[in-house]
Amino acid sequence: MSASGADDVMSRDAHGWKVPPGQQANGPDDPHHGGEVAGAHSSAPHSHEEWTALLREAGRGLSSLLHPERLIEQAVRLPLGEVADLCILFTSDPSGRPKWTAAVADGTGKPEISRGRWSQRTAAKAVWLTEILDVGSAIAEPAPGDPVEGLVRTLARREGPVGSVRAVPVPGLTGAAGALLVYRHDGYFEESDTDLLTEYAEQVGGALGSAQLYQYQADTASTLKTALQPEPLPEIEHALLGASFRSAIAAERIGGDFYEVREAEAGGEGFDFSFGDVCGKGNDAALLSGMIRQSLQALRLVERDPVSLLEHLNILLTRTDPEKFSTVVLGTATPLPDGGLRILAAGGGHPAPLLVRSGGKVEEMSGLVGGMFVGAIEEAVFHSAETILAPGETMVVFSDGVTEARNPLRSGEMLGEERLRRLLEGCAGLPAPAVAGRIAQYVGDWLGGGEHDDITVLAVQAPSAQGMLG
Amino acid sequence: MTVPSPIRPGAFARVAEEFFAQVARLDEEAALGTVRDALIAGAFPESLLMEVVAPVQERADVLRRSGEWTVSHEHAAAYIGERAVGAVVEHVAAHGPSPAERGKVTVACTDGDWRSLSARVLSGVLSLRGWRVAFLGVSVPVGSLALHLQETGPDILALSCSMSARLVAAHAMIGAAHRIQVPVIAGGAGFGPDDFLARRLGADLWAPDALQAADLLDAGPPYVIGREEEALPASTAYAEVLQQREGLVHTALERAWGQGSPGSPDLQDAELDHAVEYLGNTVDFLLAALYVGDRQVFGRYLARTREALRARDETADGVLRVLDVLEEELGEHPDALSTLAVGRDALQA
Repeated sequence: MSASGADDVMSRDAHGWKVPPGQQANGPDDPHHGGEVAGAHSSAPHSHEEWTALLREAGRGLSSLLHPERLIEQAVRLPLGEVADLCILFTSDPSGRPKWTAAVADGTGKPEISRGRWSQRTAAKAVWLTEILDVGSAIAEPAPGDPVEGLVRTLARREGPVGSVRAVPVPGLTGAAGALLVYRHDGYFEESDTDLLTEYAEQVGGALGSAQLYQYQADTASTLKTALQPEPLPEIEHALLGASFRSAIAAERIGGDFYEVREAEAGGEGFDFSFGDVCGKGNDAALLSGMIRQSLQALRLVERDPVSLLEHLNILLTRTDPEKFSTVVLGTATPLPDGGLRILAAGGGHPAPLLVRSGGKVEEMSGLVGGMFVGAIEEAVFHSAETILAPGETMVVFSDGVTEARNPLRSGEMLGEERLRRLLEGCAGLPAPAVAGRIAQYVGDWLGGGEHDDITVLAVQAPSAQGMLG
Repeated sequence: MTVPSPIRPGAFARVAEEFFAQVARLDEEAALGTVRDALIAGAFPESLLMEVVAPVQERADVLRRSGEWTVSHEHAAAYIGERAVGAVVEHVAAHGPSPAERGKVTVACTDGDWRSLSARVLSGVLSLRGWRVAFLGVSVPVGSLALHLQETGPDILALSCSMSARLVAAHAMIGAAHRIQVPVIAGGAGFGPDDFLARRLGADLWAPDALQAADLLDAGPPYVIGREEEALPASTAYAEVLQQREGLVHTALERAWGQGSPGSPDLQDAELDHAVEYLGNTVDFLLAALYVGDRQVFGRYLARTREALRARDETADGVLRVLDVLEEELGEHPDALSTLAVGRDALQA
């Protein structure tokens, strides 16, 4: 700031604010009160036009911030430098304990952010804040000795006289959502500055309202989507499980693929698994997959046999909406005395799971190839198949997003089942989570950043006693 | 923390060797046992993470590049390393005093980067120091990252990039974080040996390893977002090479390695896949070097290729022919040519 010369002509009270001529707290007796003051018009090295343009430009950028806290930080940071040395935003709080967020220029041009909260008693002493928050004043000025003076001294690290200060309301949906206070060591705030600050605070208020609304909706959406996301795999004593899910929509965590593993209901042995890929994409598909998962949970209370489960699910889905169907593989796993697992599964329209045998042989669960979609026609017939996983062997269930991934370096050639088998041959001996992760990595490399469907893998393994590569 | 046992340099060397041997044979149970035993014996958890677990990524990477390990083996080793990080954090949470709360940090691997052990170690160190850590895992799409940051508003994003070929995506992720006012600390082998690339891509902080990253973050939030971002050099070659990516791979396949020409034996399916992937990677490293305006990105890539070829007792002839073809194809772009020349020198050094 180059306005240091103005200090000589400004009135200053060691215990109060520096105020523009004609408004001195000390009145006309002030020895510095002189005629030249009228010429000390410039409040900052920038012209008013530059100032205005700067803050307006900056204010517009606020609307892209959707997280209230981040927005407030940015809102107090922007006026620094050209406009103020310190900027504090007070937000009202139902408890009567206003929160403040402050930005101060630290001398190197980097703003420092700090926050805190006032007690009810302190807040009560800050008359200007009450005026803005509760009375609805358009502009307020802290009196000497106001609690904000102490805050400003601490934040601005000032021991001597303090500079000028201005506070304007930050409008909310009803009344003021907060108060924006700016402070400057040198120079003072003119009426036109206050108008500009008022305009800036309105932009802040608008953006803050949107951000709070967005946050509310995002929280709601997030709660709903959590119910549709795959649940974390349970820890199961006799099996090692791994899964990987990558949604077709980059910014999503939900999709039309689903998988689930649950310990058998009381009285049953082992655990149940299900895996499917519903028709369609996006939110609709996610909702349908959520409905299928819930239906299966209910059906499992009375039925464990894979074919019967598929038949019931088929009828349920067909009657709900014949346009909505899904591929499904589901079944049961029962621990065997030697540490292996007996898998009984049924499938409808889903790629057959691949079995990674000890030694690296990969085979298809042949009884499950093809079959009809679940939920398309009421008369659909489903088949089951059985296999035994010896310790260390893995069953890999996958969605067609894996095998239909396209490689942009190969003119969009699909990954195909052959490559998946070849990959799995090299995965013998890997723990199930590493198998699922390795498939995701391989498909990701194959895609090279290209678009894709949901890519989902579930690996069920009979744990081996020792290190897998012995 | 109770009084940590003094760390003598190399005190963990024996434990690290034992741990790595168990990881190498994918004996998860034994490996986790080694870590837990060391904790019970009084090992300082951070040092255990840094000196025993973290080195797995680099060692596995070297073994994979020299052809001793498959990618799957490397991946499984890293998985066990990540489990060990979890075991350390859980053990400390169950037995140690809780550290003072610090703030919220999001840890993510760059889109297209599938090596997450270093990022997981960082997550572990930060949790031990009292940070609330959201670990987003491998290959995080930029849209998914932006959504997470908007929703959770962390104090900082820790971005890991293990492979320079993914620096273009890293730049997009740093930009996405900055747009929503989240500062970024960058790390991982992909950012190179110093802070040059991290700064050039706009990261606010850089650290060479997890411990130094945690030390930097100890200063505590809020962190400052760098105001003046250095503009990346506009490379016309970058756009050109990006457009020709697939064509360059095919031309190199035909002219450097004789695929599809009469009289030369065709690569078998798996070999062909491998060849295309290798060539795609080479072009991606060239692209990244052009994008960030640092030829050494390509130079370091080919220096590692040279080491790997030596370890496998193979000559560099095949790779040199690829560089020949790329030089012919990109002859009108001086910055592409000079980058390829730096690569050639590194390969033949």
